[in-house]
Amino acid sequence: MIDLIRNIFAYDFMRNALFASLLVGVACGLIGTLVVLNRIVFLGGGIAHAAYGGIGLAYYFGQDPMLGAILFSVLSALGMGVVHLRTKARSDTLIGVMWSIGMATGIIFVSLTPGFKADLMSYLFGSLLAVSDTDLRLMAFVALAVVAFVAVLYRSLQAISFDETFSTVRNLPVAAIYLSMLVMIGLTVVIAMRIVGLIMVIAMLTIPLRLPACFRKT
Amino acid sequence: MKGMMLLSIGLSWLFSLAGLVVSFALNLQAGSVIVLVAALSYLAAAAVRKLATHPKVS
Repeated sequence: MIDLIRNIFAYDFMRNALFASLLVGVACGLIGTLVVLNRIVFLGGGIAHAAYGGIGLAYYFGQDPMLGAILFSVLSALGMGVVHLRTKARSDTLIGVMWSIGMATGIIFVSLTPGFKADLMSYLFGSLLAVSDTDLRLMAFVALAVVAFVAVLYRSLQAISFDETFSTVRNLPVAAIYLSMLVMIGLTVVIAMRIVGLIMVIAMLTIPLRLPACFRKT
Repeated sequence: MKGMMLLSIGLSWLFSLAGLVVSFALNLQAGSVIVLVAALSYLAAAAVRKLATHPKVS
């Protein structure tokens, strides 16, 4: 078995795929805990799909698609966060609206772009075996940023995740922490999505968190 | 929360490694296999919990 693993990772592309998935594991493990504890998995999906609008617009205007995706995901995260904080009950509707607008805008603008047509589906499923050194460096930067974010705001994030009312009473800047958490979720999801695909990002945000719960008594 | 985060990172690494090995051995798409390995592990864990908490009455 050890020999098999050693043979597999003798290839550069397999080593890059392993390092990319390990880095995604770090970022998604930390961010996923916040996503699951705050019950905002749907919001994570919404942000990621809204980013498709940015990708389409960036292609249309000849800019870097990643820049468009990041801009759109941050704006949509802030938009959804503000609405969630103001009207707790109906935020799911807005997430659904942003989700569909993002996808539709992305598809329309990519189809309007003359010349080379980008394959939006490649963003959905990613290409783990085609991860470049630049992608790895970008993912390492995101993983480090997430670790720093969680390390600096650990107590505040824990407080708002378990008891938002108590945090408000203790004069914590709940709205600012919540919005910064959403922006971090958006950035992580968008950059990891480019590398390993949205499906794997959503799986890594939720499954490793829920699996141990199957063996917990309370 | 710290324990949850560390456990989650560990499980992500385990799913990734297992998924990459299986995808290489079976010549399948790596990302999809990792997702399937993770999802099937979760379903298996849920089934074990169900069986453990509701034992069959004969």
